[in-house]
Amino acid sequence: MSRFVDYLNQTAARLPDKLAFSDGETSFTFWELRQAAGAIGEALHQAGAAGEAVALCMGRSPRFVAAFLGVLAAGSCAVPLDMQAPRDRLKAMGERVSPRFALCEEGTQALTQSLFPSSCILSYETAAAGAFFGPLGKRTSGDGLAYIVFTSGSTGVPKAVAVRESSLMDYAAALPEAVGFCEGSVFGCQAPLYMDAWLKELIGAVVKGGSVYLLPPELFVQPLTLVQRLNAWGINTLCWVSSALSLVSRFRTFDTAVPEGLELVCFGGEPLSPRQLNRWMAACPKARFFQLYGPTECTGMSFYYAVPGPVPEGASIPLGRPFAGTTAYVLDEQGRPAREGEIYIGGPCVMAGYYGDEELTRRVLQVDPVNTASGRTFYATGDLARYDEEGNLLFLGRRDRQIKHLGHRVELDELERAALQLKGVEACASTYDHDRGRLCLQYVGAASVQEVKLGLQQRLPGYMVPSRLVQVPTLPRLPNGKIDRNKLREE
Amino acid sequence: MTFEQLLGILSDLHPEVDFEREQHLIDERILTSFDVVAIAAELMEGYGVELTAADILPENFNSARALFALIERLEQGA
Repeated sequence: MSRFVDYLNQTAARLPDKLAFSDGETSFTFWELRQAAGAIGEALHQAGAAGEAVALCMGRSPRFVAAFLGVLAAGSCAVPLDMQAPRDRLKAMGERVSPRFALCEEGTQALTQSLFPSSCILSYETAAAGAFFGPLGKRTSGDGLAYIVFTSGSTGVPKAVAVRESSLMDYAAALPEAVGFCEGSVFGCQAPLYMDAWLKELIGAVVKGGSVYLLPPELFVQPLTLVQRLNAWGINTLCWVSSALSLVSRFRTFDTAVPEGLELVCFGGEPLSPRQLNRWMAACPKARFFQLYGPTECTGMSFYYAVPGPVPEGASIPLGRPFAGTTAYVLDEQGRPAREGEIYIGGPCVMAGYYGDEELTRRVLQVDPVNTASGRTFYATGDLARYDEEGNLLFLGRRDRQIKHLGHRVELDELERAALQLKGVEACASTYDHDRGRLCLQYVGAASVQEVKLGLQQRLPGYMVPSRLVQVPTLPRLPNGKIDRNKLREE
Repeated sequence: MTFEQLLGILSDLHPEVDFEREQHLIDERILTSFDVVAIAAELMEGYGVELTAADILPENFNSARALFALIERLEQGA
C-alpha cells in the first residue's frame, strides 16, 4: 500500500455501513466518507490542484474529515486552518504557504475569500455532491506532501511543518500496533482538527475501521456531562492531551460518574501529574494507559510507554521507546551518544521541512549523527532527557524557551515579539508558571493591562495569550543588560 | 469570600472583560474550558470552596453573579 486513501478504499469495502465519523449531528459511514472524499478529490483534480497546497477553511465536523481525505485523494497537500484564530495570524499563515487552492463551506466562505483573494476557492457543498466512481487515489502516485500544520515559531511567525505522505504512512502502520487500535475502537476525539494530534483518531478509523466521535469543545466546560456523553456514545478509547484528562479528574467527577466502557487511554502533549493519572486508573480499572510523546516535526507521536500501574506522587512518567521504524538518540553537546542530553529522532517519520524556510529547516534537520552511512534524516527536538536505571527515557525540559501550555507549543519569544509590536509596550518578558499552568507577561510601558490583553488577543491564538499581565516600572536585568529570567520567575 | 474577591480573580484572568455586566461568559466563549479550570482551582485552593464536578456547568460560570451565588450556596451548605 502506498497511499493513505488506499486504507479507506479497503475499509469502505469491508465495512461500508459502519459509522466512521460523527459529531452528534452529522454522521458518515465509511462508504459515505469514501464517496464524499472521492467527489472532493475529483473536483480538486479537475481544478488542477494535484501537487498543490489546498487551504482547508472548515469547521469541526465529519465534513472536514472528508475534505482532508479528498485533498489526499487528489494528490494535493492539506493546509488545515483554525478558522477561529485571529485574522492577522490566519493571514500570516496564508502568506507563508500561499496556497493556490482553498476549500471552504457555507459558514466560512466570506472569511476564506478575504484571506485568499487570488486563490481558486471550491465550496465543500458543491464539490462533495459531485459524482464519484472509486477507487480513491487512482489519479496520482508518488510521494508528495500530505499536509502542512502550523506551530509556534520563536521568530514571531508560525512555523509551517510540511509532512510527506510516506511519513503519514509510516505513522499509520506503527501507531495502531503499538497501542492496540482495532475495529472495535470507539474514539472520543478531543483534539482540534487543524493540528496533527487528531491523526491518531483518523488512523484508528481509516486504517483499522474504528469509529470516531468528534467531541464538541463545549463539553469540556462540564466534566460530568462529558463523562455521561462518553458513556452514551459507547466510547472506549481516548487519545487526549494531558490537560484535558486533568480537567475531568480534578473535580472529583469520578465520585458521581465514571467512563464505564474505557479500554484504552492515550495521553501526551505535556506531562500528566501522577495524581490525576492515578485517579483515572482507579476509575477505569479495565483500561490500558499509554503516554505518547513526539514533536509535530516527526509526524504525530514518536514514542510510547505503557503505564504498568499507579505512579508515585512526584515521579515522572517515562517517555518509553520509539515506534517501529523510528530511531532515537540522546546526544550530548558534542553530538556523542550520552546518558543525558538532547533527543534526536530519525526515520521516515521526519518532516520534509518547514515550508518556505530552508534556513530554519537546515538548522534542525541533519543526516544520521551517529551512523552517517544509514542515510536517515534526523530531527533535533530541543527536548532534553536522560535514561533512568531501567533504561527508560525521562523528559527533563527544553534547550530553548519553548513551553507546552494546554498541549500547545508556545515559543515565549513569539509571545514577546507580539507584545513588543503593541503601542505603549517598551520592553517585556514572559514566563510560564508550571505549577498553575499559567502564562505570565511583565511589561514596561504606558499601555494599560486591558490594552495589552486586547492587542495580544488580536494577534495570537487564545492559548498563547497570557492569563496574567503585570505592568512594571523596570524588568530585572543582568550586568550585561540581558533580562534576568531567573529573577523574573521568582517574582 | 466576597464578591469583590471573586471579581479580582476573574479580572486577573481577563482584565479586558467587564465581569459585573457580562452575562454570557461561557455561551459567547469569553471563558474557555481551561479558564473555568483555572478559576475553579483558584477558588478551591485559594479560598477552600468545595467545588465538585456537578457544579462545573455553563450556567454557573456564565456571569460573576451566578458564580458568586454558587459559592454562597456551597459555603452555606458546608
